[in-house]
Order: sequence, then structure tokens, then C-alpha cells
Amino acid sequence: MILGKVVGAVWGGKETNSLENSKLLQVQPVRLKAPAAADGSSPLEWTISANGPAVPLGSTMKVVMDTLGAGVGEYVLIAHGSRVRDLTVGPEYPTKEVVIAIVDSAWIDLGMDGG
Amino acid sequence: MILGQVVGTVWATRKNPNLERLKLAIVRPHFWYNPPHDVDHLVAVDQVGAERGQDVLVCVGQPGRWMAGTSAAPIEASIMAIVDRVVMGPSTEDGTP
Repeated sequence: MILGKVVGAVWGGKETNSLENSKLLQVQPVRLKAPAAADGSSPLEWTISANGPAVPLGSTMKVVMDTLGAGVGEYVLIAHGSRVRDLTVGPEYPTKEVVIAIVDSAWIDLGMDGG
Repeated sequence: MILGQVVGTVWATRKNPNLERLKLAIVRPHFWYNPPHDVDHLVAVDQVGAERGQDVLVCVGQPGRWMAGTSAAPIEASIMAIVDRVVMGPSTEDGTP
């Protein structure tokens, strides 16, 4: 599972039958430490909360199926794989990425390994 | 399985019902591994009570779900052990690297 931030929604005007009645979100995965900032200039501790500061995000984007009702700006927990899909949205949906939880808060501290 | 360090915790109330009572830990892998995501962390279910800063062994994939006690939980990573010591390369006679 990984953490990501919902940055938008995706709608298909014409979509395959098995995608109907499904909600798709555009999610940007959290990237704790950007490679360029590995010299310690970036903060080592973050708190994800309702009104907390922004957590660094990766450059990739993924489209994730959601049944929990996550909104734009919220952080979500994403699980990957066909078995995860079978256990959440159902085997009939053509997706491998599913939102399994909406994050209330999270605490991350990278300072313990000596930088 | 991969080696990593516990760097944080996640709390969530709106979640899949089968995730109830599961503790979620944020883990930073120590070495390169091949996730289906371009990220530098993963969230794993913690069943052994790992604390922040501890090195852990994380099982990724289907076995990680079997080990979580409930095969219905939609997870794909769980912490299997807290690491005391790792020896890499040829060890000496007394077991020290």
C-alpha cells in the first residue's frame, strides 16, 4: 500500500460497460524525500492532517478507483493488485489500484537514520 | 520480502471495513526494490508491534495478506518481523561481519 493525495477526478464520457457506476480519482503518490534534496535541506518530519502543511509528492500520477468517497485534497491509502480489487470493488471492475482508506492523519519522521 | 525502517504511522477512520483494528505503519525500504509504484515508501500492516525507527522485515504481496490474520482484508504488505541484526557478505568465524 502507498499514500497519495487526491488531486482530481476522472470522468469518461464513453467508457467500457464494466467501468460504469465507478468513481475514478487522480492520485499523486507521496514521495517522502526527493532525490535532489537528500543533502538534508528538506525537512525530515511531516504530519498529514486536515489543515496540515503540504507533504512532498512524487512526479507520477495514477488513476485509482474509489468507493469510499474521497475528495480532492484528501490523502488516501492505495492498495495495488487484482486480489485487492476482488476484495474491495469486485472482480468485475477493470482496475488494479483501489482506495482502501482515507487518511485522517499520519506522522512521518525520517530523522532517525541519521539523515 | 524486503528490509525497511518504520518511519511513521497512519490513522484512518473512513476505510474498508476489513481494515478495522489493523495497525498501519509507514516503512522506508533500505534497499532498492521493485514496487508497482514510483515511490520511496510503503504502508504495511503491523502485527508485531514495531515502533518508529525500528528495522523490520516486510512481506509484500498476497502472503502479506494471509499473514494479517484475515484473508478478507484488502492489503498487500505486512510487517513480519522486527530485525535485530543483519549480516551481509561473508561472515567471520565468530559470526561478526
